[in-house]
Amino acid sequence: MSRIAAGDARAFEELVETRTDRVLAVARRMLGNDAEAEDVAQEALLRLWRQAEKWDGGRAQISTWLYRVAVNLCIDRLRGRREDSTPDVPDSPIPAGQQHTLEEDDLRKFMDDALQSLPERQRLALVLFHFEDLSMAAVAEMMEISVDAVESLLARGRRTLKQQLQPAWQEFLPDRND
Amino acid sequence: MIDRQEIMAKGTNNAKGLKRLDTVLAVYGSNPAEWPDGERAGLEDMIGADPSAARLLDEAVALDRVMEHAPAGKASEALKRRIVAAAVDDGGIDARVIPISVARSRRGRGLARDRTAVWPAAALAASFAFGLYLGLSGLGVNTVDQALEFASLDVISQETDDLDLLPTGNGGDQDSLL
Repeated sequence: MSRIAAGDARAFEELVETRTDRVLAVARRMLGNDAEAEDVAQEALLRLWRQAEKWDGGRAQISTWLYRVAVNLCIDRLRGRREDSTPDVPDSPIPAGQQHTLEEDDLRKFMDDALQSLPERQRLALVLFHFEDLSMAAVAEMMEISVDAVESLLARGRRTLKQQLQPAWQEFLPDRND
Repeated sequence: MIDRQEIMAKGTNNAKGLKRLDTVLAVYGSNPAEWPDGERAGLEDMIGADPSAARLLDEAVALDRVMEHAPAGKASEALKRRIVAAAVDDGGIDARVIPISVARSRRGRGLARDRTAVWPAAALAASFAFGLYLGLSGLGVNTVDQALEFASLDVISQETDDLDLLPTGNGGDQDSLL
């Protein structure tokens, strides 16, 4: 960060190389839209560049800071969407006629739809804990809630996904009859 | 003979145990390494002994496999270049060390801009020189003469009847061809 703060764009380029994927993944899973996720990733990293001179290394890790900024940008965008229109959330992401032999692309689509249909905070808790492998305490800190509250969000989110994706996950059940 | 109270107590404990397992799976997922340390061994014992518990774990594993399909997106090289270029152009920090990729693209942009500016002027100059050459060499007059020659040939060909090209062996009798 000291190199970046000194205006070393090559150091910033190294940081972009190593961190963009993770920031993009959080944004993609929160927003369900590639183009918006790229905008968020770009904005989060640019904010890091702009604030590098004032960076307090002891206070926050770069990755935590980036997650936080990306999450806030995602939440702003989600709020903007809500003001624009009511989202069309499917009752069940898997159409009745397509519940067998799901292909990879279908699974991605159904999983994405189910994730996007979750309430924002449940989705955020799942994205950070389950997909980004952050600790429960880190998620709690980032979301500014208690660990118990994170556990509750995770349990509700995962139970909803289990219900919505039942036709999909049933295909992966082992055969216990032998 | 098994004590009836013992059976009822065991059943209650099983129900409680299953409920707790269901909650742990909902919060932490199917990987026992993620489960709370104090509960892991007991829950694993229960899964080994109780088919209902094993079934709950199977379902959690299957759901995790579906959840792996949540799209994450991968940062393209174009996006990374765009972020670095935006940072260098940002102006918030004076970029003192510029990455080669950005420097190259800037040089490329500069050349492209220069070429765009030079092209109309060069075309105008070439056009002027060519006009001057035509005027001085008298080539324009010759060209007009040649054009008149071709025009007269065209008149001749229109006047020539197709019958002139027929073989003359039969004396050019037109009726014999009919």
